[in-house]
Amino acid sequence: MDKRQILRECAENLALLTQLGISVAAPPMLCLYAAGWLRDRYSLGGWVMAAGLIFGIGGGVMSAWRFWLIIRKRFEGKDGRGSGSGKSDGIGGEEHQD
Amino acid sequence: MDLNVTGAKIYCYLFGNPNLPITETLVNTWIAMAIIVGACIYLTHGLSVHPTSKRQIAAEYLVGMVTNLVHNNMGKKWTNFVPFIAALFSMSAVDNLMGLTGAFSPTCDLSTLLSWALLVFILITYWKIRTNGIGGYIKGYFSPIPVMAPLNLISEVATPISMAFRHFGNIASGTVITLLLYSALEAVNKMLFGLIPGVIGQVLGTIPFLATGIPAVLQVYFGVFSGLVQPFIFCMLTMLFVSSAGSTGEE
Repeated sequence: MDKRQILRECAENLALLTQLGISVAAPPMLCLYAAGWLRDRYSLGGWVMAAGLIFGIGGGVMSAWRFWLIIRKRFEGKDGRGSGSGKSDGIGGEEHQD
Repeated sequence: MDLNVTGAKIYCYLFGNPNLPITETLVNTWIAMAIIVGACIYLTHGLSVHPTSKRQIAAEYLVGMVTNLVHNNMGKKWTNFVPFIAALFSMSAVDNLMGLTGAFSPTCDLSTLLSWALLVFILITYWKIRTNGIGGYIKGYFSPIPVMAPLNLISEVATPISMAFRHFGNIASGTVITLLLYSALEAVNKMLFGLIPGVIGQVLGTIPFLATGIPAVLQVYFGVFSGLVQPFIFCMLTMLFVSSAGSTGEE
């Protein structure tokens, strides 16, 4: 593995790591924003915010879990095929060619 | 110290309709597109089978670089995706680097990034439906148990939005921090040279000595480094999500 490839791998892994954090943080913020909008628009009680928070945290956990599955699959694919070659574990196979 | 941090200016309204504003974002996006198209025309005219000019070598290097990026992240069956990733990367990079010239960077406007995110969302959904069928796509929302459907839906929508927020946050915060530093250094400059009595102090206070040089270090990071890293990250995540949607559909 040459220096450029190591740098690229580092950049990719850092990007994935930080995206994992943002994936967790985004759903609660979105849900709280939506809950706040619903509360103001339809004059609902404070329970909407609580519901928004619960759904937001749940969505954050799901996002992290799904993202983790994607990352794990990516690394398993890389280990299987050796670094730098094409992906070969697609279920859809050749039918994805446009 | 007078400091204003505002969004894109509105130049005028299309057909006088207040719902159709021509903003700085729109104008600068068209400028960025013109720059990219101009660069493409310049790099690709007069090509020969065996490259002899530096221009053609540069063009082939850039195309090879994006092709390798797509092959490494998505696999060789996704070669058709190369032009899209190249367009996304170049658009984002030129938009970000535009901030270095003092112009308003279109990526400082969340609307730009949300529209890109919408595009990514449509692509992810398209590939999921194409891979699993509409039934499999809907079924994916109810896995592992049907109760999880709302959470899966939130997670699905949040994915591209988080990508947009990330890109926007990095560029906008860089712009704001740089602006704050410039203003602070100007104020310090005025204060320091104001200590010199008489007209000399007043004149020297108006010349921003401190604001030249020191912020350049931050500009290198926020303007150049972050301006080129964010497009890479955005493209990489797009490739990751789309290839994942096109290969399993189970996530």
